[in-house]
Amino acid sequence: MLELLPQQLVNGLALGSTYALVALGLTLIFGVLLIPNFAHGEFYMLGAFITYALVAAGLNFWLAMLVSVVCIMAMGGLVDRLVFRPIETAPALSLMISALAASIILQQVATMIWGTEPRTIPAPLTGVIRTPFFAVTQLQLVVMASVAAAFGAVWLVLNRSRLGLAIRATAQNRDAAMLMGISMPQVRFATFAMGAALGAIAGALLGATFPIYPSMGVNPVLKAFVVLVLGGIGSLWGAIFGGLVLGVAEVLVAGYIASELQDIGAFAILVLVLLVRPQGLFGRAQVER
Amino acid sequence: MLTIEGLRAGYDRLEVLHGLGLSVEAGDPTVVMGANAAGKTTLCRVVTGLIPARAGTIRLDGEDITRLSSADRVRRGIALVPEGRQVFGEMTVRENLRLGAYVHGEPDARDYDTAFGLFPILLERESQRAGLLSGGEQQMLALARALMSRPRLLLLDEPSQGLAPKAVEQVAHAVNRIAETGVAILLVEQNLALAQMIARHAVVLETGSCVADGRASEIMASSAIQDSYLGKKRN
Repeated sequence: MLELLPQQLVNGLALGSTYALVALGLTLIFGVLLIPNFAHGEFYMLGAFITYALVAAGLNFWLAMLVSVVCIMAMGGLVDRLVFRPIETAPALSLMISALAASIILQQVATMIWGTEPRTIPAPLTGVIRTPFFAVTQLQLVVMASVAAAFGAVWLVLNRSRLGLAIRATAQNRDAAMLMGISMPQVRFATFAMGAALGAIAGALLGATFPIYPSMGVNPVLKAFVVLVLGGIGSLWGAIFGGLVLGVAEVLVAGYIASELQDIGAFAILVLVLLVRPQGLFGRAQVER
Repeated sequence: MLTIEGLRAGYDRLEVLHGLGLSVEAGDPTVVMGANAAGKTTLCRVVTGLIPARAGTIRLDGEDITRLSSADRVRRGIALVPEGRQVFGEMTVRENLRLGAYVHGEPDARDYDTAFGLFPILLERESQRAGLLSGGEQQMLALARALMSRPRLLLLDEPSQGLAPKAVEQVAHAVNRIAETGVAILLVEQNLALAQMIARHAVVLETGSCVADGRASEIMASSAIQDSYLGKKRN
């Protein structure tokens, strides 16, 4: 059994990487704007479908993914404008219900266009790298590398740009940020566009490995909320780390206990973290001063 | 500088300001006094555009700014030192100041010189996280941050709150120096000591309406304030 462990870990990290990408976008939107965006899974799903449609039309996979990401960024801004901004000052529950409505509408639209039949995007890379201990597909490597790249890009925007300064200020204290003359529509658009882009990248990459279908975003977004709690809400490191931990844990549970328990494993970890460290692994406990 | 007429504002179904009127001029620092829930913080929030006005007009040097966004008001020279200081606790002192100058792009050396000249302690704490500063230091940072936007009108919402008397004196001294540079001051305050150190013009608010308006020295000695405000104070 144990000789399979390296392979299990690699598979777990690859799976966890997609969780991390989805969670990174979700945590960004939640951390900055306090919006529980259940429609995030649909950014992921539409990212996959637009890539699929463009590849089917003859475009190169990577180019298709790029175009798809740009489309989804615009869509992210649009979703914010139509779904969340009109109820800006409403309580969290209304935002959540609005998010669920957006999620359902987007799934229905996708179903009207593409039907419920699962589809596959032809994989852009098919090579496998074999080592004495494990095998890893080139695509898995790309997924893992893109998590690192996405994290680096988000970090750079947040910490090295003026826009990032405005976004971080908004995340810490929205009223104070407005008093600095920071434009909320701008911050909201940028945050949604970035978050949506991360979802679209995850969707396109996953679509090259697994079948895609209109409701494919529901499960990952639930997992991403688990990751958020696991890593600490609003923490970028937490999203990455939590995603990887969740991926590895799921694969280990499936491999060593029973594959039917894979999802239970994820939520068991969630309960455990909530009991032991409610602020998450990377979250800071809130202290009133 | 600032002229407010018939201003109504509130939250949800609750109206807090019921047709308020007042004006503030440079060289004539104004204090708005009143008990808790008289509408002082609401006044600050509506003048800076954090909440909308339901009726009435707010003019800055004659220009109607009632419908402008917060960002546009900051650009026209309105800055607020908010209640409870509201510094960006996770950021350094310097980043806080940088954000203060956000509407001008990046702050230049003179902006920092002004801020650090007024509050040398902030220079010492420059690279510390703002959340780790003492209450008095955070208040100075909030003031310095507001100055970074080069305001013409500076609003201060209860800057004495939670401060030791020594720190209150420092705040008063700084505000007076800022007022001397031609910045109009609108102070919202329950602390009479601070109000006396700063204001020449005083307005008394009672449940969302103005009940007295005049020279600070006269208002503070008058029975209007004794009745409506001091009488309700704890001590």
